[in-house]
Amino acid sequence: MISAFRQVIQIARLTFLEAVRQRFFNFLVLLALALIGSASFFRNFDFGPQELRFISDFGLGSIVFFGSILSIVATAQLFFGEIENRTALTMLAKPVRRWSFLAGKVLGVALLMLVFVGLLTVLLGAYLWWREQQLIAIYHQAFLDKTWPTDFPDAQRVQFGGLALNALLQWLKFDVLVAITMLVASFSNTNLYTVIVSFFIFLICQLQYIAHDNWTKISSPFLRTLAWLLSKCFPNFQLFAVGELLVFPAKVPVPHLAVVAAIGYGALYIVVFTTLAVGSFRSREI
Amino acid sequence: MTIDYHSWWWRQGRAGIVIFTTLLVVGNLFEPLQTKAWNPTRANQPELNFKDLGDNLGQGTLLGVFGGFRNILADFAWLRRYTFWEQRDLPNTIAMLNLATTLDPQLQVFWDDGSRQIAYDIPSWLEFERPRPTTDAEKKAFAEEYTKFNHDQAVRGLEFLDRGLQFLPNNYKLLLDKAEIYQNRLANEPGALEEAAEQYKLAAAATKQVYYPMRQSIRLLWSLGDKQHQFEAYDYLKSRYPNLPEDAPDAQKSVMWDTLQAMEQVLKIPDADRTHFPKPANYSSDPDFELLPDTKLGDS
Repeated sequence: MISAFRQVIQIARLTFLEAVRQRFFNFLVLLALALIGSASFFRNFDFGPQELRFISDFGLGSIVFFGSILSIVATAQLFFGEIENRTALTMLAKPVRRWSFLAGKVLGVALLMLVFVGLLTVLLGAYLWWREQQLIAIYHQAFLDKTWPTDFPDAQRVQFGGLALNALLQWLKFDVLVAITMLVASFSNTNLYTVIVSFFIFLICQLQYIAHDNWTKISSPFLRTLAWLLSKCFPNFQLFAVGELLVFPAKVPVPHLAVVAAIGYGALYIVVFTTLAVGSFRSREI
Repeated sequence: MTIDYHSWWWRQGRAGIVIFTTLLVVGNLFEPLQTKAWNPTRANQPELNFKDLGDNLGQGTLLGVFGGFRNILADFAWLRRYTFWEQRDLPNTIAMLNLATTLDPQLQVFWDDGSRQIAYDIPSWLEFERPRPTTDAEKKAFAEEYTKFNHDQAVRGLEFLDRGLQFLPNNYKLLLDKAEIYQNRLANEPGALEEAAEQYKLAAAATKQVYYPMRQSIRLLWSLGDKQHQFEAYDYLKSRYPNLPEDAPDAQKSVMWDTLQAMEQVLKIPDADRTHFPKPANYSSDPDFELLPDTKLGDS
């Protein structure tokens, strides 16, 4: 068993190294970094009064958007790379179990996503901190000069602990998506098919909350059953947005238990989808 | 009939059933976890709450997919709306208004400006769309159509603001917009001015810095002419007056004091029941300021 776990770690390490060398990963990281860096430019198009909230929303949007693409594409590429190059055959001919191979792949891509989310969150945090210091100084001076009635409001201050917690939640969401993509890859024959199907599943997971909140209100028995099945068979990706509420003081306080529940929910779904992927991969002909 | 246990259909079908059943069971088992995390998220993002699936499904797609980019997309939709507005393109203007407010419903300016476009701008487009009426019959038909369109747009503007107030409850600017639509666009309809006065009162109650809605409510109630509404205006001012600051020029405490005296005179309030509020410390009468129509101030 211990050797099997060593194999998982080893495969994860190799998968991660292979992934960070991919041009696609580097391109997405650069694109996301550029978007976060240009948030101030996009602020010119904004009609809202709170600059820090805009920068934060924009940065978190970049992380979610590019992170979702990366989770799906990187997982599919890394899996089918092994199949198409026949390295999977060589590897599995040795005493490497199929579950070790798949779990190692999932862990490797999860590490990749950790680097991606961590890097972008650190940059976003640094940018927000720099701008917040500037705004606090401007507000404070105006308050002292009596040209502005209030000092910098607490409601607009960035909660950097919340930003870090949000990064953790987003990372978990990406890992669920990685496990889902691995499940699709485990029974599909092509990279393209895996990417397309995974993307549609991602969309369903993003919209699962509509079915979850509304299935009881649907009158048609067929649609009602369909909505119920959708709400039960797919994870709710919107609930990871609870992390976004932690970056600024929320209107309705977010209980700690909600964050713990979201973390547990994400972790359990990673295990469930990886287990299903392993089960499906065991009966696959390579 | 024999089953080929090695066939593709059998293997894939069995795998599909196992995956489906597992996810169904897991979905039910994880439901409490989902509820715990989902409820606070939904409570903080009212735009995620849909009353029914029907018309909102498209909006749900937008909200669900774009995540953090919603704000910037809302801004672009808002800018795009200007182009359609300049071209007097009604369906696209409304579509962009709805898109912007769906993507970012917390932004007051979208509701504020949008309601004015619906209630004030769009009715005037009818004049550009229809050929200029020449005969009396045509003029009458156009007037009827214009009146109806005007009414419908005013009602749509009010409905738009009501939607905005769901996301920005008690926002004094949106309440003020509602009052102004009742007063300016529906003034000829029964009960509209009373409703406008009520909305002004709500707007006045929703802010501590702006006093104009309070004065408008008093003025409107008084101008209705009957004693019941004039007493209502008097009681309302009597209740608000003690809390008016003396050092805020916009509160116009002196004028309000004059108004109270004038009201008591016109309504013939017995001396024992009058307010007898002391004159404001920095009292300065403004004889040109006519808050109450046809009632001269500063006589008392």
